Amino acid sequence: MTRITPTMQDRNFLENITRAKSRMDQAQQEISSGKKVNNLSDDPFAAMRSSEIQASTSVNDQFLSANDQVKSRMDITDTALQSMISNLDNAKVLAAQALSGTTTSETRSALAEGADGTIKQALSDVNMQFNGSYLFAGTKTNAAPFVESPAGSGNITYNGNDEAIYARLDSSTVLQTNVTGQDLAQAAPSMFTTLADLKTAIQNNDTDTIAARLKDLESISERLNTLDAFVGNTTNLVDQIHSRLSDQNLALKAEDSRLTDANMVESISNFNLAQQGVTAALSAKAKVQQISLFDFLG
Amino acid sequence: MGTLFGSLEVGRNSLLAQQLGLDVTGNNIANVNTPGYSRQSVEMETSPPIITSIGEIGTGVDVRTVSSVRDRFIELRVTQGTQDQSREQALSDVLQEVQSVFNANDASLQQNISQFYNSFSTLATDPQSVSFRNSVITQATNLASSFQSSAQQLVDIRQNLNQQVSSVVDQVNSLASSISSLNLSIVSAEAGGASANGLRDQRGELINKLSKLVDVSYYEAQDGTVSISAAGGQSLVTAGFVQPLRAVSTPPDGMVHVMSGLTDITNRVESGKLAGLVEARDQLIPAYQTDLDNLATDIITSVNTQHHLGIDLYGNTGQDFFNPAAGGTSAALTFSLNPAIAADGQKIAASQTDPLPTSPAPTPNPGHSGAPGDNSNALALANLASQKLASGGSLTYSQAYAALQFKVGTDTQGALQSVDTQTALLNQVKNLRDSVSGVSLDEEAINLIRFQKAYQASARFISVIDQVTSDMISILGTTA
Repeated sequence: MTRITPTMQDRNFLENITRAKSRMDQAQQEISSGKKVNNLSDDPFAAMRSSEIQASTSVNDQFLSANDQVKSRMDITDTALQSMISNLDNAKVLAAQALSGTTTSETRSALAEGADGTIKQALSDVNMQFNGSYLFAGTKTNAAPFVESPAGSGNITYNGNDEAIYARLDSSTVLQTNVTGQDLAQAAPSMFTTLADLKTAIQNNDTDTIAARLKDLESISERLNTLDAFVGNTTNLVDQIHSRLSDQNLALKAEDSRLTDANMVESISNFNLAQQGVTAALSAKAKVQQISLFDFLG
Repeated sequence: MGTLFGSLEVGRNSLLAQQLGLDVTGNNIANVNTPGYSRQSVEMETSPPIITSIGEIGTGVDVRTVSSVRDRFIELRVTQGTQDQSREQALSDVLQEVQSVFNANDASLQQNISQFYNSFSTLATDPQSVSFRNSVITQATNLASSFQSSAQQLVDIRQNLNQQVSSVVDQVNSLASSISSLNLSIVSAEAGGASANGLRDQRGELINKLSKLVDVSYYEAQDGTVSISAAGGQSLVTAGFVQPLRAVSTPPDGMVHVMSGLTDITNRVESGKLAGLVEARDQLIPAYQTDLDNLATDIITSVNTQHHLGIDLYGNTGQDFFNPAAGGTSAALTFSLNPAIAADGQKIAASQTDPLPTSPAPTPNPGHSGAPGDNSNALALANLASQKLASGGSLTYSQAYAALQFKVGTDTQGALQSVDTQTALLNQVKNLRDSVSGVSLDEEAINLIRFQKAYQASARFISVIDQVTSDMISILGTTA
């Protein structure tokens, strides 16, 4: 039979009460922090995964905000293109009127005035800015891409380049997000040359040239529509990726929560269980401590 | 046939023996909470009888000895258990401190890594923006200071461990010298043949304390002295002599090595607190430091390489973004931003003069002239975060850091579990020792009654003999 000594009893009691209290402490920490993984050692795998998730969601959040930027840029580009297209429509109307065969020198001069207005409008559209940088300058976004040079000559030159600006929409998608002035206005037939020729032809009542330029305007419009379709497609893609990233973040956050968040019901019930255990152990100890043979000796 | 005075002698011896029994019981009760105390018991025997023609006549009781009740084998197991438990305890204490360096929170290194690369991604949306450029510098500075502070904390913990190693060596020496003087005291106390129980208990407790610090093995020689060797056979105490351990600060890092005589025993200590401290100081923490440094080096190198491919707003080729770690120094500890870039965000090379190196290559791709609106290098820098560039090309940076967290976490978890197991084992062995050597108060209460009753009976016996003797004398008196 094993001899039982007070030191043994105390030691065993201490070991058990320490264990019970550490369970209680663990449950309390879970309840107060709302997390079941408070230290790496609580669950190294969950902690590692949670750390990776933290990094992934942070990257996704960044993509989401970059996507918003891209979308705004696309919206402004679309607005500018629409404005250019309707400006070209105006120019086509002017050309058609000039071709009607009933023009007088007064009406021609008014029509030429109108043609000059379309040039100014086009110039304003192609020099549109977004957040202080020029939309249609290629990558030379810090200076107006289309300028009249020399001033007053009516000669519009392109100072931008034909370089693409890319955006990374998610980890695997890189897209061009700009329409260059080159594609927009400089490609043949050139928008500004066409408009300037049109103006001169109207002034000179040169119907052959007016008819030729009208044809050119059609093909420029077509080009702008193609570019606008590209802008629209990009916008759609950005929207799709945006919603995919949001879904992904939700899923990641759910996984993180599953791995590291405390189940409150479970934690609270664990806490109560541990607390009951501690109370019972303490009260048993208090009672046992009183029992000794010495108490019964006269 | 005995005499009346002989009977008085029997009574007297009995009284003394029972009195001694009471004393020993009292001493046991008094030492019920004394660590290392082994209960004592009075060993009584019948005193040599007188041989007469009618046979042997008893002469009462003799006390042979007062002995300590102990089991040497169980005590060895306690020593062993104490050593193992102390090692795990030391390890888990250190690792809990270490894991707080790597614990996940909102300001963790992991966050800084992603925020740093994200800042390039933000810059890519508007490469001319001054505020976006400043934000890159802020995030880079945060990343650098985060690396530095993690690395510095590890260095501090390691330094602290180093001081603890020295302090443990001092404690070992002090205990060893106390044990050696007890050895001598025991020899002289036991010269008369009696067992020096109290001194032995003290010595046992000191050995127990010693075994918390370092792995010791010991044996008791014929003369009652113990010889102790530490760390796999290095003599520490031989009778009255001590071969002290020495803590010697050793280049290149000034870490303390433990020497016994001319032998370096630093790596031979297998258990006890010293073993835990040395393992954490020389193996675990350096491994974490290496991982952290590798991660820092990978980040510094890849960012610098990519930055060199870019063009800044002045039209110059990108310079080093981070200061490259000098050889022989910790990359994490010296992680810092190139001051030229820190002072001027325009020097961040966000554009490129060559084609965008990422795939799938978008079309059309007319190349890059390094114009201010070109964001291709910023995109490439941001994209470093999602490439497997760490750990020899097998992990992304954030995965590599998470893997380091996992390593620290499992090490700590393992150490905590070991402490639990070893503590439970140690408590069991201690209980086993107590069941042999410990003082049971109930048992002592019974002893108290036994000796008290025997004492009372002996006293009664003496009183009867006294009465008989008086009667005899009074009879003789009337006759005379």
